[in-house]
Amino acid sequence: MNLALLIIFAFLALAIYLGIRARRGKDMDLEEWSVGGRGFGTIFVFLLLAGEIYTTFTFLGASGWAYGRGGPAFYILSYGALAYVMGYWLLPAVWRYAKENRLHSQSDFFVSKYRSPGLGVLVSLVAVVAMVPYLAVQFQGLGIIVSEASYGSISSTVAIVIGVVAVTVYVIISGIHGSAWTSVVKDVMVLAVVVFLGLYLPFALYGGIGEMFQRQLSL
Amino acid sequence: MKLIYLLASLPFLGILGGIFFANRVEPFVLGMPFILFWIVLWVVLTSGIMAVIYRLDPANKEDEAG
Repeated sequence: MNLALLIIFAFLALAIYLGIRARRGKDMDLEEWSVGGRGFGTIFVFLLLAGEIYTTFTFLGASGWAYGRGGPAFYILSYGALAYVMGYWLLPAVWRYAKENRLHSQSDFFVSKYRSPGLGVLVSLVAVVAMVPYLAVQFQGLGIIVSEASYGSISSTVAIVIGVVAVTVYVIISGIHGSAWTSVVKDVMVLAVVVFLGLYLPFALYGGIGEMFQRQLSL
Repeated sequence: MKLIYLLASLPFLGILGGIFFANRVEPFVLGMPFILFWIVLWVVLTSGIMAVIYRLDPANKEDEAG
């Protein structure tokens, strides 16, 4: 067993352990499972929001876009900033309304706010239709990353199956607490890798960020 | 509608409007091509602008301190 495999399985074990352990000390009812008893602190939510914009897209899609298209890839920075500006008015209002009415899901909100069960069903359907391809793409990205990182000894398909099983287990057991705690690990790791690579590659290969862009310009 | 909220339109003007004028490579600023510098600048300014709005927004005065 080589070092790469050891690291991959160590992180898998850590994720499953944290995901399942997150349940401890919680009276697990639907509210606790779906929205964490509405008790996540400000800092925790901030870190999750900051970390959740990084996905497999960060490593595969975004770098591919920047490589293939250049400047247009900066839309990634732009839409994040502008979306959070809108979130300032939208999200606290939704959160307060959902707390007062003890809602658990996006479709609950539409059922309650617009007094229309039909709208809730429609929102659920749209959410599923949107989430399934999104999940498929993310797992495909996971498969590519794991199979590359293990030098091909774990095939993409096997990696996806292991990933799906692990996520399903800790989400069923711990709900949002499981996702939140594994996200903490993921967010810290992704951020560390992104910052490291973003600085290491230009400095090691070109001697600086400005030098890297100058070099590209002269090609 | 409070006037302070109008500050929030600045990031939209800067990013979505300004990009037409900032769409250039030269001059390099802090090692970044100008268009990248412009976007990064506005991401940072957006944080600052939202911090100001948060501070001055009366909606954050009365309820929940945390």
